[in-house]
Amino acid sequence: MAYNTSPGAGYMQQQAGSPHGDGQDKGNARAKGITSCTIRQILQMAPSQGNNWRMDGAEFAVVKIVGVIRSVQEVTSHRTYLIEDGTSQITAKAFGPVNNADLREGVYARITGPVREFQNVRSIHPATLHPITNFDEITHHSLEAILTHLQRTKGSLQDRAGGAGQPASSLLRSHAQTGDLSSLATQLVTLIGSSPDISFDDIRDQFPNATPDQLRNVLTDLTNEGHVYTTHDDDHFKLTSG
Amino acid sequence: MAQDEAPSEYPPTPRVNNSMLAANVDRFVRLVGTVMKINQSTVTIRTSDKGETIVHTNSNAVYAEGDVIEYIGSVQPDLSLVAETFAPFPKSFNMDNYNTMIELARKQYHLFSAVPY
Repeated sequence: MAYNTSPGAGYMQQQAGSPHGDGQDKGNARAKGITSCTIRQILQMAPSQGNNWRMDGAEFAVVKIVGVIRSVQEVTSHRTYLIEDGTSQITAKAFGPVNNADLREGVYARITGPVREFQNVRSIHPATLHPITNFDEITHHSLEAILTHLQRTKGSLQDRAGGAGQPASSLLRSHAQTGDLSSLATQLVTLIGSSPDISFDDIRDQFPNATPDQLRNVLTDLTNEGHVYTTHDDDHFKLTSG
Repeated sequence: MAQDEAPSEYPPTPRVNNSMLAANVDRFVRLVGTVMKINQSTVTIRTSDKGETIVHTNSNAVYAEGDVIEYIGSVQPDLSLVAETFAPFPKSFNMDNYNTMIELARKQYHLFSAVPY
């Protein structure tokens, strides 16, 4: 089975799986952010409490996995992708048009979306589904999954002396810190986080010295990295965590 | 039967390097390496931990010395790999970071595998 590393971006509008709102029910805490994890972790989670899932004791709204598309089945209303990441396999059911022919068997892809369960079978309803173009993302994603797990189960890196050795700790720290983001990206994250839903036009007004293309490129990177996501159209943004 | 315990069309394939092969004989693994030598259907690769592994492949596979390839296959008693499938990786792939990651992953094996590897 041959893979393909053709560049490209695939983005789909998700019909189902709206973000969780602030719970007015006392027992329904707000789930936050994107959790990088393995498929095995998704399948091993305890059953959800309503719409909220917990992994390592922390609630989350959306997962991110990186794996190989092993099969694609298309019916009238949706496409079903079977994703395998070396730990297990899971289906991702995508509704709406898919504007990327590179999302085919044998391709490594990054998928973000909420987890759903129906008749004891879990799947992901992808909010984003992109073929990866930088294969170091495979390394990065696994490190993110390890880091997230360790932070949730053993505390933050700052609280733990030693760790897994100098090179590994440095690598984890460099991926964990938002200092990895460019200055413009950091400013965009701050601006987007200050508003419940901000338009691209409002963003552009705040950055008169940046070209629209520069802003678009950085926003695309932030979306791909899971820091922000688009809301009711591609020109409105919301911060993922917070 | 829980979903993660059901028979899978794609069994787990932990990411390993050359030094981990001995602990995974008769198991399917994922091995990434740089092609050093090609001899018909046998390929010698340099793995992420700078070891050398012999991979038995389909002779129709098309790649060249210097290519970075991810193999999925079963580890043989002689620590060679019989490849079921392969994927080309870019030559820019950072093998050092990858090796660090798989060594870390092995210490947190429960995130990646039901059993240590």
